[in-house]
Amino acid sequence: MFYLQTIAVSLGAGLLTWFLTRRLHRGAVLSSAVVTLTAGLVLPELFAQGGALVPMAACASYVSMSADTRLGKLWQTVLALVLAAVLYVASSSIFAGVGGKGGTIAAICVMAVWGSTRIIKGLSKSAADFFASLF
Amino acid sequence: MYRKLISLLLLAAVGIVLLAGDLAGARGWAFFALVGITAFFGIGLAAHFFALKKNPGGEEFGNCLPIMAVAVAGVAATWCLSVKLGLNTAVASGLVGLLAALVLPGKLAAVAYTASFAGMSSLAVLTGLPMVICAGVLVGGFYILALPVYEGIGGKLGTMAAGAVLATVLIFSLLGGI
Repeated sequence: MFYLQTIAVSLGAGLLTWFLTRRLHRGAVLSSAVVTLTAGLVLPELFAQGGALVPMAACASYVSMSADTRLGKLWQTVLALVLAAVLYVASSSIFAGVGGKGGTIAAICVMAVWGSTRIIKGLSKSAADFFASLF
Repeated sequence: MYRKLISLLLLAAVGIVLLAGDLAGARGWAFFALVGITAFFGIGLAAHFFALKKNPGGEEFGNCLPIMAVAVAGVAATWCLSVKLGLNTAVASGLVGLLAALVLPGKLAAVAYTASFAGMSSLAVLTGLPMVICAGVLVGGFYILALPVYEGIGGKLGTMAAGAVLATVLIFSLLGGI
């Protein structure tokens, strides 16, 4: 249940930041700050575990601060947000009390999605070239 | 290139320490998910390294003094809001980030937001004002050093902040041990 709540909060906060940044062009810092502040005020009132989910919302907003050159498609952002939720739950006892932990989780997930996308693109191009040479 | 390499090593080191800690405590499917994330993170770092090697790019240091001043003020403001006034750390960081985005020009707003992440540290980590000031100076330094290398990566500001906080703890524990 906690995983589902964490993923839901990650997707909600991340996609809201993505919308503010990419669609409303509010700037990455302002969008992330607004989402983080709203999450800090609203989530503890909504859920019993809401207070524990606030850092997740902040972390998700950092993921969505990525530029088009890193996470160009919406599905890439969604994938990075899901990975961030998994890593957030797994990291509950690591870096406890260290500021920047959420950002580190975000950076790891953005790099992982960006790296995997590059590999898949490279492999699919090689496969396409191979099959094109056969026929 | 050395500057870029050092900056990339900072990102790699902070990320690897976090992932290693996670892997040590993970069981079942979470372990395999973390192995996958670690592998792809490594691939991303390698791809980023080769992209940086191909593109030397301009390296702008800018004016360091305002960056340092804003960084120290950002860490101190967030730390005071959360530790002294008892605000939720995310609310404190969000307030500082929002104020910075509304008042400061873009680059300095990003510095203040980075600093606010370091200021989210608990009293057990940043135990007093000297550590807060040291963390602020390091945040400013890492920002100047690493920003062009981390361009476009969401979470880069938090990674710099985490690196600065961990370095502060290391420095003060070494000083305490002398």
